[in-house]
Amino acid sequence: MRRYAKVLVLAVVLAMGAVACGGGGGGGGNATSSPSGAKPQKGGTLNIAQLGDVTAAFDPQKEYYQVSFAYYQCCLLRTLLSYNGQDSAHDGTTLFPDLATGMPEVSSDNLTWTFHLKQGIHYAPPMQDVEITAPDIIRALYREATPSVAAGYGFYYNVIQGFSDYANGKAKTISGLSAPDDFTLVVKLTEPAGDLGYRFALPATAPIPPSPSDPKAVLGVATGHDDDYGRFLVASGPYMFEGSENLDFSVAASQQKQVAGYVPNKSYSLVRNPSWDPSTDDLRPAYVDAMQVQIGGDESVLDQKVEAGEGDLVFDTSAPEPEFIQKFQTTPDLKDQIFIDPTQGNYYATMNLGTPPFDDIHVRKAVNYAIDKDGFRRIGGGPATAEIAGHFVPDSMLNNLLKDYNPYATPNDQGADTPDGLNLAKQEMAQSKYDHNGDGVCDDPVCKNVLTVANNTKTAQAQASLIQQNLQKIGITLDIKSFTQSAAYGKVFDPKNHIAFTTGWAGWLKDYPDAYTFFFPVMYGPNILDQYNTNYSMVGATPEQMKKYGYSVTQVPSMDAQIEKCFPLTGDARVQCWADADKYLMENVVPIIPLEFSNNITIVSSRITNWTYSAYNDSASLDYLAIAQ
Amino acid sequence: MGRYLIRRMLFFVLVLFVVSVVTFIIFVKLPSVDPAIRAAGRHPSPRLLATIRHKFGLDRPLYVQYWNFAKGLIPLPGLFLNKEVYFSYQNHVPVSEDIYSRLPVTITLTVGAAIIWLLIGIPIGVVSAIKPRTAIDRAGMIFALFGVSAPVFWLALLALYIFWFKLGIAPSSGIPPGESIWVSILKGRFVLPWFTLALSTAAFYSRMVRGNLMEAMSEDYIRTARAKGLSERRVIFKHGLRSALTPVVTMFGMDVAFLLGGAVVTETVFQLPGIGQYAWTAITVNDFPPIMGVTVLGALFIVVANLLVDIVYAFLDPRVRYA
Amino acid sequence: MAQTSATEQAVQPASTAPPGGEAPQQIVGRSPWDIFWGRFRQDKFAIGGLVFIAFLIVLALVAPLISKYVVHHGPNQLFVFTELNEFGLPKGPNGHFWFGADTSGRDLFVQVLYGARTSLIVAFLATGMAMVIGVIMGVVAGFYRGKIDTFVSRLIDVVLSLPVLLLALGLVSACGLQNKGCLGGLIRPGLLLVSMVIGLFSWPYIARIVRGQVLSLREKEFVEAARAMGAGDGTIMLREILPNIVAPIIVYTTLIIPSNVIFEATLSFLGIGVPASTPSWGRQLSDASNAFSYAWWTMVFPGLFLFGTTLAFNLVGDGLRDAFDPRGFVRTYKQKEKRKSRRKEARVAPEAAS
Repeated sequence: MRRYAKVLVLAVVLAMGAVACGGGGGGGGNATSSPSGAKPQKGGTLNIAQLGDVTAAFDPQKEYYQVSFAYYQCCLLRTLLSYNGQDSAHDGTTLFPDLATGMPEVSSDNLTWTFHLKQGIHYAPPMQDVEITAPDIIRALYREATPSVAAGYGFYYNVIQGFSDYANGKAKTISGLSAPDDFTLVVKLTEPAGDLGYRFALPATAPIPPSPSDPKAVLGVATGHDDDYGRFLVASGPYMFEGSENLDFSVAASQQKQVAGYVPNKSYSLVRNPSWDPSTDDLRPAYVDAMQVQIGGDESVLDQKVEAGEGDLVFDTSAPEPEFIQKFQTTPDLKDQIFIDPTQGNYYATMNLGTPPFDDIHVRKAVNYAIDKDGFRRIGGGPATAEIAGHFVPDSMLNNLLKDYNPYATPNDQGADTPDGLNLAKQEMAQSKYDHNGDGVCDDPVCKNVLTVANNTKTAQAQASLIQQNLQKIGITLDIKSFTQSAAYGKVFDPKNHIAFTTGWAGWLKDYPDAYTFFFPVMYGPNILDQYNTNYSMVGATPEQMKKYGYSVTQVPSMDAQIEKCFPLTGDARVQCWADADKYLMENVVPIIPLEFSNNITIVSSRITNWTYSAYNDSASLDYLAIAQ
Repeated sequence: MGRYLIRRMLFFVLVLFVVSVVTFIIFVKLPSVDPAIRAAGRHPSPRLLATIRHKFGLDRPLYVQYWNFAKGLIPLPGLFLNKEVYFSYQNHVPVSEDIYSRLPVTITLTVGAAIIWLLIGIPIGVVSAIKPRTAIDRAGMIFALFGVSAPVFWLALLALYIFWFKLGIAPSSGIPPGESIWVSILKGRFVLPWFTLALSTAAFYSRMVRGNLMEAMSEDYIRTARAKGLSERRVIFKHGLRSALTPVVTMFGMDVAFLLGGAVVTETVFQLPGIGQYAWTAITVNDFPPIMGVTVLGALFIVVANLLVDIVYAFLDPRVRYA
Repeated sequence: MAQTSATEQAVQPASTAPPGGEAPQQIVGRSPWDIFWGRFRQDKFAIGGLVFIAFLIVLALVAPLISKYVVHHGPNQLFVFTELNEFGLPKGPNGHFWFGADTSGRDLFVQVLYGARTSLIVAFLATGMAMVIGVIMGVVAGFYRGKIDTFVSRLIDVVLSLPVLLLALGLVSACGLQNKGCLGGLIRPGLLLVSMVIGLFSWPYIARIVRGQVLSLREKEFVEAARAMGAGDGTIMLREILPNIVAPIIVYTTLIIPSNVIFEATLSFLGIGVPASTPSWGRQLSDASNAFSYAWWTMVFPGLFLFGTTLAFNLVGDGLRDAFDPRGFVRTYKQKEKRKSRRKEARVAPEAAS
């Protein structure tokens, strides 16, 4: 697994979004590309390889992972709103009504949202006679709030009246959710959330049918399946797990037999859902008849199998090995089988504002000049793998407003590996309080043995060494501790560990196409947590918090005001607001060194005729892929 | 024999106890990340964390936690790897389900490799012993020396590189989903893993057989047998080999048991979804219940093999009586 | 394998007897060590192994000098723009990088040199620990017999029943992931941790052999004599028994070195051996496992060195064993321990690394 397996274990970061500009690396780029030029045909079985299983056994309230989100969106679950499965140039990050008849009605105070549901849509077998209704959506949100379920991202729904009270046992119901009739859902909020629509396109809000044996059960058919509902999943999308029709919800949960088409850690088998009616769904073409997913294997071996036609594509958070990228890009026969598209994810190195020398903004700026971003990218596989980043939020999420914005540009982005870049870094360092003699090289003891955490994969190790070499030139020496991916995250998630620097192995991927999913988790002071803290730099921490976590530096910069300003906004004003926040971040706070905006690279077998890239899923649109008959 | 069996059973219990305690201490007392935090998703509330801790039993005293796990190791239906405690912290899949579905792969790998190492190791050892200091003996012993010196994972990489990547005569690694174990065997997916795994043991057996047989052939009873006028072939195969192979038979039991507990490296390199790969995956994410399950299952195999080996040994060597 | 060439050896002294002219001299002054050396140097394979090991040790010692004065760069120095192409693929062996570059653009030659240090340090440390624990356990058990012997023997049986690799993986990853190590800082990540873990699982092989030896030695006349002269237990063990079991200790210690080299490489191969910044052959091969199809050199060079090292130690171990004339001790050991000695001969958990 290469660097791109950023979320495999922890599912830190998720979902996907739009890329307003297509400007990815070398290959694909078209919304729909058909090597043979033929019109896509229905039928056939898609053979998919995955390095690892999804992270919560396909439980829709728990899964918080790019790959499972993609399967839900394309194939298994319909939500009130959803996406069209195309790239950003073809509205791939725009919300469309799915189960809803149209976009929600929002009250003038922005606090009441009303959704109307389409009628006559039914669940997959064995619930084929059950119509999807508004209470089913409410049921899903109750499940997201139920503590014993240990759901994945309930925080997105805390804006709903009574949601957190219910989750904390202070209320018996969620007062903000109501269904005046079976096809109307009314959501009341405690504060405006301009991006609520996106949150009703996440799988946690996909309908859960009532239990046939106990219609009053709050969790419906998921009752008794707090830990394994994914293996009893009732689908609503064009596909379902093979053998779903044999699920029997009329008996007690402990006696039910799980679906045959999902074997955790081994395989999935998706077949057509006979209840799915294409006339109610204009977002999913669903070309293939079935999908066979095999889990396990090394990226290079799986790539090899795709080239040999033993599999159709590798569908995971990783990228093909550089060897295959080179081979597919440079071999005329294979050129049509590699696709490179921008994701809405990034990689960045972090500096902890509470640990000297990074409490000095000049040091942080100097580090920004010093790092050789081009070398960093080459170790990771070269230009195909990513665009070099000049700021925090991927360009496509900001409608390219900051496309050419790079406040710490150096020649060829090679930082201190070029004389000019080194000069820029030194000029900045010379202004810091830790460069006592002003020669541009830090000479204070705090610059020695800076506590640094790195991932222990070979790529991340090499990239850490590169950064180490770069920073040495301005007098900062890193004491690099290496851990496995999950342990490394474990270290930086705990603010008491005082990790001063991370070397660019940590990345962030959008949950949905709004920069809120970047700023809120990573840069927002009130979101600093004792555990699972994703604000590694401690941006916006209060003096009390800093004391509590044992930092000697207690005053750190904050950009909470810039972030909060954007919360209620919608449309272009919202995007502009996020772009301004990004500039503020890069010029006045500088807690990170942006390194890359990643690309998705997929190679497919020669029989795939209809490649489509889903900007929302940041991956192939499985329901658009077609097979030459 | 009765007393011997009781002693054996006590030893059995002792081993399981030690293994489970050691495993428990290593993986529960010294974990790098709190499993509850990992299972809780992003932004967990303290209440949610408490709920998960309770669910995993992490809020109870250590000895209670240990006892809960230990109960699941008693080989009785309903207790053994029970679903209440033995489920993956990652995805809640019961450990027994995963182990049983993977056992066929590990058994196939082990049995196939065992047959190969016997078929290679013993003949080389015998031929070397009856023709000592000849070219054939030297070749055999050089093979043996190379075999015991080559690390399995390197052999596996070389084998994949040469036979799959360069020559294209072996299938690549892994087993496609839904393919039955028999089909996989027929398609030759196990050939490279079998030989890779068998090589070092085959090499070792050939050295051992050679040494034992040469020593046996110098014993008095062989001279007696020869003096009786038996053909040399009969002397070797009837008398010499019998005593030379006795230690091989017993060692064979242990070797097989070891591998049944999971050939971690071979299964990892060849991507065979067996027990060893399962354990290794669990270790990388510190998913305790599967680790405990596999570790103790491995120890169980070894202890049972010990027992079997003792019984077989008693049959093969009339001098041995267990009291 | 203790007996592998016993018969062969029995003939050797005669067949290698020097020309008659020197014979009288030999009759006068041959100590056991002379005899040993006389035999050992006849074993060309063993000498070859010894030479290779010496060569390796020298390489490991001068690795920093070679890196500084010959190739002018360190093991972790990156050559991103000169040794990786635009796709991040490494260049093969060339005049500048003799073994080619690894997949991160580092000099594989220097990496392999430094890998020798890691391998040798871990092998010697781990084996040393195994030897110390094994000898103490074996001597005490064999000397006191009774309950102590039963306890040690059961302990040996238990350790031999442990799923070694799994527990080692667990220990290394549990302790290796904490900044402060584990057990209150007693075990810290690094070479020492890996060595300790390996040592912890390989001592029983030595203890078993030593115990068997001591069991027979303690009945010998010279021990009786020492006791009659009032020597205490400690004195007898140290002065009388230990010197008499030096030979088997050396032989079996040498024979577990290659296993331990492989053990360390296996742990590193699985990604949890020595720290990531420490070059190790196992880790280099692990990196190669994704790259072998386009960068064969990343698999071949570290692999050959690893293989050569284990082979050399095996050759030396075999040679030592033959030269010390194992027939004597193996015999006594076998007779006294007829039942227990089966299946344990000189085998050192090869499954551990499977």
